[in-house]
Amino acid sequence: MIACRSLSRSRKGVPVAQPGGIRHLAGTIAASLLTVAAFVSAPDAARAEDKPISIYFVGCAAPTGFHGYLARGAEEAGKNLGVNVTYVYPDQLTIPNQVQKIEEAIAAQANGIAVCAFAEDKAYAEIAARAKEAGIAFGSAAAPPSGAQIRDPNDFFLFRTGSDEAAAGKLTAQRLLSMGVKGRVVVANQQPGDASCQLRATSEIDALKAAGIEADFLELTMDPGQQSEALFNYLRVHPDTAAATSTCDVIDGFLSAKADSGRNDLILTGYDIVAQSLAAIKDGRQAFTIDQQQFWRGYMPVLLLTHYLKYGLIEGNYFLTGPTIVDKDNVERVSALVKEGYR
Amino acid sequence: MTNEPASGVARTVPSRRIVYGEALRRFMLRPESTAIAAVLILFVVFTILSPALFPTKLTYISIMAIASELGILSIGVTLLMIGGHFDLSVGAVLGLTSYVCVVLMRDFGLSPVIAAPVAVAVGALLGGLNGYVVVRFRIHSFVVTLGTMLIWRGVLIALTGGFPMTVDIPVVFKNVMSGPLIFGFRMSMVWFFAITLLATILLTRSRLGNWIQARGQNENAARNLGVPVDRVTIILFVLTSALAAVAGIIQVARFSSVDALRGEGMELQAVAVTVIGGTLLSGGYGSVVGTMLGAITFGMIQVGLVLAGAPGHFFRTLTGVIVVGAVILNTDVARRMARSKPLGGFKRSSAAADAAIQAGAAAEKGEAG
Repeated sequence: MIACRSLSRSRKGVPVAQPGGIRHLAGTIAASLLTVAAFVSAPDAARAEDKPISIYFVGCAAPTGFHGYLARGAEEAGKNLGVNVTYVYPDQLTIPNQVQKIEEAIAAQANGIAVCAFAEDKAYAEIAARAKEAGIAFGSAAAPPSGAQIRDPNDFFLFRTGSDEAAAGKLTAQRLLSMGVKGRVVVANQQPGDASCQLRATSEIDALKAAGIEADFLELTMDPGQQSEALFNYLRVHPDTAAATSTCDVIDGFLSAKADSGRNDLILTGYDIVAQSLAAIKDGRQAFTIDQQQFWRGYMPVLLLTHYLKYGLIEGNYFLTGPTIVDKDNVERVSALVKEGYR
Repeated sequence: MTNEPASGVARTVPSRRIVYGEALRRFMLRPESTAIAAVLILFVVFTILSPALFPTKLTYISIMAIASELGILSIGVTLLMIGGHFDLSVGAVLGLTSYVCVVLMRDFGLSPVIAAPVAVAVGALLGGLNGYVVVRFRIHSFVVTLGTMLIWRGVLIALTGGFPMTVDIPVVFKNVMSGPLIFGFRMSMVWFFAITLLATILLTRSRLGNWIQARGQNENAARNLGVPVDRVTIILFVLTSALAAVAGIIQVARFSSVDALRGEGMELQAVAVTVIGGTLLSGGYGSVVGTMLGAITFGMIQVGLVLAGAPGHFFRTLTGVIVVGAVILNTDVARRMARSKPLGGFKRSSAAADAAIQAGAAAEKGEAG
């Protein structure tokens, strides 16, 4: 089972002194102390009764869209493995807000915590140590540092499972090169503050440049109209541009710019699975999109935590859920799985 | 009989240089004058930086495509700012009303001719809610619309599930709203100009326009003079959100889609465009035509930087630098011009006041005769 909680904490019942004298107040305090004592001894009693494993999945955002697939993966793992999964998330994705949610999971005496880590390791070092002190298994639902494959025995995350963004950028470049791209490639980022998008862009540009291809970075806004006009004019300045990559999932502006410029030969690539991309891949306007199989990013942490808690199993290699490519060859199969909630 | 006015002061005919100088001074006193200067300066700069590509029709089409969608949104924000209020929720309203339009067409099978007005009505309703909360609870509009911005955006994310949605748009509707029908220019430009004209008439030629300016200059004074301040405030919020919905529908028609982040950040772009256009953040003073020029300035910056080959990582930074520069130019010139004195032979008042004085003098002269 899965339960979603918002940022705000639920208020605990606080005993309030009622009029009626000291005897009444003393009675209230005594009853409160008894209640607290009962709560304090509850985990031991529950363990004695073989209480189901409780896993908290601390996400990056509300379980909608991309993050909805993560939550769905965690939920399905919980069902399959017979463990309780609680998905919690910060209203605004900042390190303090996310750490606050981890603290709440520790306070709730979870058996295991999986965090959708989005910042550098040191941001989680302190809270990971506190989780360890409390005897809570602590893992990361995000990719390991780029290039790292074998798990570091000193890693404070028990496991890391996610898509390697640098590998994703490199994969895009490799696919473009295999398609015979020559001349110039433009790699655009609509969310310049997003580290994932930036890493995708940087690694693609580096890989292309290493292969002797001119590659430019273009900073855009989220507005599709402004995206379209910026790319349209970029193509005017650089008519030798053979391909354009959108490092975020909003591809409308790219499709519009391709149509407006009459550049039917322009190869468009993108990230993540969205309706426009699937339709554009089917009809040939977009060559491919990079998929990080986010369902697995939810499923695998719950599986790994459960097996660690039950059997003491720890992964030897970090588990990469992506990148993979969705193109004309597999788009129909992927579309069917999207409808079922797995892609 | 000497050719002297009734005041007894000898009247001298000013030289042509002074007449033109005074005409220029009076023009520069208008809010949109520095926006014109910004457009001209940027045109020259980008033409120098990209002589082969910038001064061409394709560039103008691109500039107007950006300016039109952002400009329609900004006109509402301008009226509201002249009326002394802010609306930070316009970007979220744009997104949410776009969603309403898409869902009505896609899931309910409604024609866009019905879906679009319903979406505008929903926008007006959301604006009315903003206005009602502002006047009912006497909370600053900045805070109220900050809250509603978060609410509408949250609702949109929840409704879309965070994913973009697509819809098939009839070609006729697509073309009427945003098709490249005017020698390659998009129809959104026609809507933009039409709304600019209507809003200018509203602001300068109607009682409501007077009330809006009075509300922006001094709320209490306006109230004491009988201006229905609360009603004006609610009407302004309704207009602002309705125009945000219109901008959203134009984007829906153009891209056949909506996404959870549609319109995000445009509320601040609209404020930038409005301020570039000469409208004061403090309210009571501004121009819709100035905002039109401000939107063109913004579009010119966006397109010009790409054509000039500006470094990709500094695109937003450079946009911000140019916007700040334009605003400094605007406010500094406005301040200097406000302090300036009429050139020799002209009275301090405006042309209309000059005419009134002359008419008064003539009448006095007639009585004396």
